[in-house]
Amino acid sequence: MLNERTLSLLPARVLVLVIGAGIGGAAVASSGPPEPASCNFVAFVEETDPAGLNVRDAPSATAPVLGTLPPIWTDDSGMRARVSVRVTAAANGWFRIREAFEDEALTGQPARPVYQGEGWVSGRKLIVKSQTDTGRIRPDRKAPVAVRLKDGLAFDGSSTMAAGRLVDCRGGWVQVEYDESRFSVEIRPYLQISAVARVGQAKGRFRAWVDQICGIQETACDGPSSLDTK
Amino acid sequence: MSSAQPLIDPDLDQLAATFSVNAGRNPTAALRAWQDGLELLDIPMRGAAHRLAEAGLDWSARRALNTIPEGAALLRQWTTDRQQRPALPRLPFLSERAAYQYCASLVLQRGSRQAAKAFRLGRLLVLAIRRDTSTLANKGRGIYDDHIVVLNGWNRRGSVALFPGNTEPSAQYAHRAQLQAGKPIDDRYKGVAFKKASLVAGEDVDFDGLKDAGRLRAGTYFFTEKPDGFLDARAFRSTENQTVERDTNGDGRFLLDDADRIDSKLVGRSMYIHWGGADTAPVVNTWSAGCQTIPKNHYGSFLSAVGRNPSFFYVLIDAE
Repeated sequence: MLNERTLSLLPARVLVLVIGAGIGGAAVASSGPPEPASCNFVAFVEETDPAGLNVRDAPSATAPVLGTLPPIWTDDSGMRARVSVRVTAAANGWFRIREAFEDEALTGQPARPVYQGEGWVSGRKLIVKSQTDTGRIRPDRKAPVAVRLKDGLAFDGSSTMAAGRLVDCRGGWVQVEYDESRFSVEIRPYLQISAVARVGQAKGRFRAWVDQICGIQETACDGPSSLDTK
Repeated sequence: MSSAQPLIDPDLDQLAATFSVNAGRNPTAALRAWQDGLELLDIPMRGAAHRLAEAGLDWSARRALNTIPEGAALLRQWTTDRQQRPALPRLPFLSERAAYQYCASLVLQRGSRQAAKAFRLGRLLVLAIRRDTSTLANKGRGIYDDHIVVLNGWNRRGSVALFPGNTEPSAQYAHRAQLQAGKPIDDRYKGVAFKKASLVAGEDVDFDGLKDAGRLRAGTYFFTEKPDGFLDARAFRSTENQTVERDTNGDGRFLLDDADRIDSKLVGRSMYIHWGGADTAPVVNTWSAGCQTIPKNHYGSFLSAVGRNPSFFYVLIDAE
């Protein structure tokens, strides 16, 4: 959600982006693998496989498995509780995570075993909750709009969260690839997707950068939820 | 003081209507009968009767009352009463009629003019009656000690559905509860079941470096269904930006001594109505950083009471 306070922080965010862009540029110039982009936000593990999500030693599906994160927890009410992870970097669609935890306040059960160390997971298994109503084509508040939810709706609802998977990140910004078929019938009339957001994507998919990430599953945030985001 | 037992199922509407009609004709006699009627009510219901009488009083009756000292005093009392917090009866133990009339009296006195008008026309309305609770209560997990009431005047039936609810944030999301060198940033937050991963809610409105919890300010809001739900269930959000009170001194309360207390800019429309943790759970948790929450185990009944895709005035009142 845009507000005066967050707008006032814009220069600091822009500075982070400039630094981030510098890192990316250096990576392109070198011949080795690209440097991971530095990020800081909380994401949720969208894994339904009962075996859980593998956390790997490197951003690759063939890297050694360091541990696992439990799948989505559900109960009779239909509520889904997900393991939270702090994301610190991204590379090639993989995300470096740490501090994974399952919130017993949501499940009412003792927490399942969770790998809490650092490692890499695929962005295809991560989702975020954003309090913004606008996704951009770049991680910049001034960048053109990629997607907007009408009527001030935020990307914090059940279907807007579930429709997206993580692609990249920069600081407190996250690039999300959305699958239009995953949006609920009720939310689709509120979606305004720009043509540029679909460029290079498979049919029915588009990408957008969102900020205002709320890492608290069970309630809305009236500001960024991470203390160190700013 | 009368020794008579208070009526179990009083008809406040009838009492107020009779007074309103008679006050214009014979204010002295009307006041006497009014006082006799009030003697049969307990204190919260007396307050409700006063509110209903005021709401129903027409201009001629008001003028007639002003011609006698007792009548003028009553009109002044009603004006003062608007500034006071209403006394709260044990709502779940009232008859449906008494509960409806008590709640209706609050809507008519405290709701916006549009809300009161819509209510009179039989529109669905949700009333929240808040009891001040510290954000630190229940180890900062919140308490369902407020009432959320669905009032439906459709077909003049006057149905009322009562739910336990929470209208205040809990300290588990407080910046002050975060640990620093093994201790909470603020000693008063010792024992709070804070969130891991440095997850906090709030905004630093007084620029002291600490985020301040916000609770929805008492008043009238208009809510509609949130199209994509929230936390895997239906939810509701305000159509306009909301105003919150901030606990800037961190004492867990929202009081006049909180500097820069009123915040009408930073919260947007993020104070939703959604479900919270069950109130039958061994460890109750309201899941609220300021949202209005209803326990999961009551939420289905709440949704049934408001119906499909509703829009409604939400009148939030601070009670005693």
